[in-house]
Parts: sequence; C-alpha cells; structure tokens
Amino acid sequence: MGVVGEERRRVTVPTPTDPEVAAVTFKKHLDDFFTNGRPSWSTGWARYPVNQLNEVVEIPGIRADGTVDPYFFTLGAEYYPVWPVSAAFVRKTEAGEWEPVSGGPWWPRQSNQPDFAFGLHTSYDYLDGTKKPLICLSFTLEYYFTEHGPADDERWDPSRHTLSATLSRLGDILKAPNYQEPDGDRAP
Amino acid sequence: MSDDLENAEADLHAAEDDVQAAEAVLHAAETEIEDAAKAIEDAEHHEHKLTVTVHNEDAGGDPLVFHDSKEALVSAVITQLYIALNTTRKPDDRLKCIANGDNVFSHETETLGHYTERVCEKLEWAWSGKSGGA
Repeated sequence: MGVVGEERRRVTVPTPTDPEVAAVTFKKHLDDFFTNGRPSWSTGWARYPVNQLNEVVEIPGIRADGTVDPYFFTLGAEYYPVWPVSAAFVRKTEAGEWEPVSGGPWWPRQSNQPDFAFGLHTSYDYLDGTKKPLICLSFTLEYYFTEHGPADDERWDPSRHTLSATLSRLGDILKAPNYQEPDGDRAP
Repeated sequence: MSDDLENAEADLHAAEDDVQAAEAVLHAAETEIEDAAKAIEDAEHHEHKLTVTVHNEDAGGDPLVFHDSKEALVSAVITQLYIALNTTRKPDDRLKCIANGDNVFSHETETLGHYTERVCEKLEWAWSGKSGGA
C-alpha cells in the first residue's frame, strides 16, 4: 500500500491482492453469506456471477408500504480480502451487460440516514482526479480511493470483516424508513 | 455340640453374605433411581432454556448459539455474546432482532422469557460493529 496526500496527511491507497487468493476468498465468503447471512432469512437476494473476481448481487429495496424494488450491485474482488470489495449500482442493458448507473430508475432515493454513518453520492471527487458515483461506506473499496480518513474502529479490518459487512449494510440502506423508492420510473 | 456350633456359624456367614448381596442390589437400585431422577430434572431444566442465535454480520460465518433460562436477563446473553466475539461493547455497535429490526440493547433489563413473548418471538439477532461514511 502507498501513502499519498499533502502536508503529511496520510491517505492509504489500497493495492491489489493476489488474484488467486482474491478469487478463492471472494467465492468462499459469498457462498457463506448466501448460506448464513441475510439471504438465508430474507427474500429478494440473488447473485449473478460475472467472472472469478466479479459478481452482481441483487438486493431488495423495501419501501414503507412493503413494495419491493430490486437493486443490483456489481462487486469486485481485485483487492479483497485485504481491502473491501468494490461496490457500485448497476442496471442490466438490453444486451445483457451490467452497466454502472448514477441516478435514475436503478439508483435509490434514500435519506442517507440509516443507523450508521453513510452517504450515497452520484458524483464524488476521487484521488485520481476523476468524478464518479460513491457508496460512501468504509466497507467499500471506493471509500479508500477518496479523501477519507476513517477512525481505527471504522476502518476495514480483514481479521474482523468480510463482504458480509458490506452487503448487510447495503441491505440496510435499502430498507424503509431510510429507503423511499427508485430515483426514476422503471419501465413496466 | 461342636458340629452344631460350626453349622450355625456357617449359616450365619451365609446369611451375612445374603444380606451383603441384597444391600449391593439395593444400592444399585438406589443409584439407578437417583440417575433417573437427575435425568428427569436435567430434561425439565433444558425444556425451560431458550436458545438465542446471533449472526455476526461483520464477519459472516456460522451463527453463534446461546442457551439460557427464561428468567435470565437479556443482558446476560449480551455478555456471553461479547465473550464469544472476543471484543468489548462499543457505543456504535448494533444488535437487532432479525424479525422486526428492534434494538436488542434497549431490552437489556428484561428477562429472556418476557422479551421473547413481547418483543422478539424468534430469538434470532444480528450483530454488527461500527463503520464509517458520510
């Protein structure tokens, strides 16, 4: 891992994990999550493998009136498990490809007030100078590619955290009262 | 006369042996009764115990399982949980009843029996620690 930033402010930048280690651990932890985690007691969860280091996970968005809106997250394990999985909202195109979204029908309208620190941004400044969407949560990889300095007890710790921590919180933000509805009409 | 005395002594010894054997049988029977009574007591005690299942959502893996009586406080299970997690409780920790999302920490002073009857019928909880974001 490297250190960047001005005025000696330490921003630790993740480096990739050995791909074989990442792939094996990613599959093992996803399998475990779907066996013992939320999908074992809550409906509406599904997974769509893309390759050994990437899967799309479907998570139910549950409105106050019980209406369920499915959302899709692409997860990337290139830095996992030393660092958290990358996570981004995606939608499936007519060609069957997963395409990142930033606002719109496959992006949730929500209040950024689950019972933990969280922010969802359609556009955010990254350390490399780009602007991209950000699921601002210390259990997503992208958080560590932005100017965030988590406290020690907030930081991703591979001895205590797995992708279960990430997916469970994504499930939480998609529940009323934090979650409201899609950020645009979905085609019937 | 001497023969009669010897015969009587022999009969006495034989009778003593019979008494010892009977006492052994009696002791074995008493032990069996005690064991059976203890087994019944254990079974009744176990029947009154409740099982609490806790999912560590930060780490994943097999859930943690705890057994305690209806009279035990919710706080007693929480104490056992933190021992099993090998960590100390922190202000931003979350512990929820999975069925309804209710905060378990707010029921610490209730008995498990009262809690399961009124708040969280299926004693299945989800635990997670602090995270950052904004």
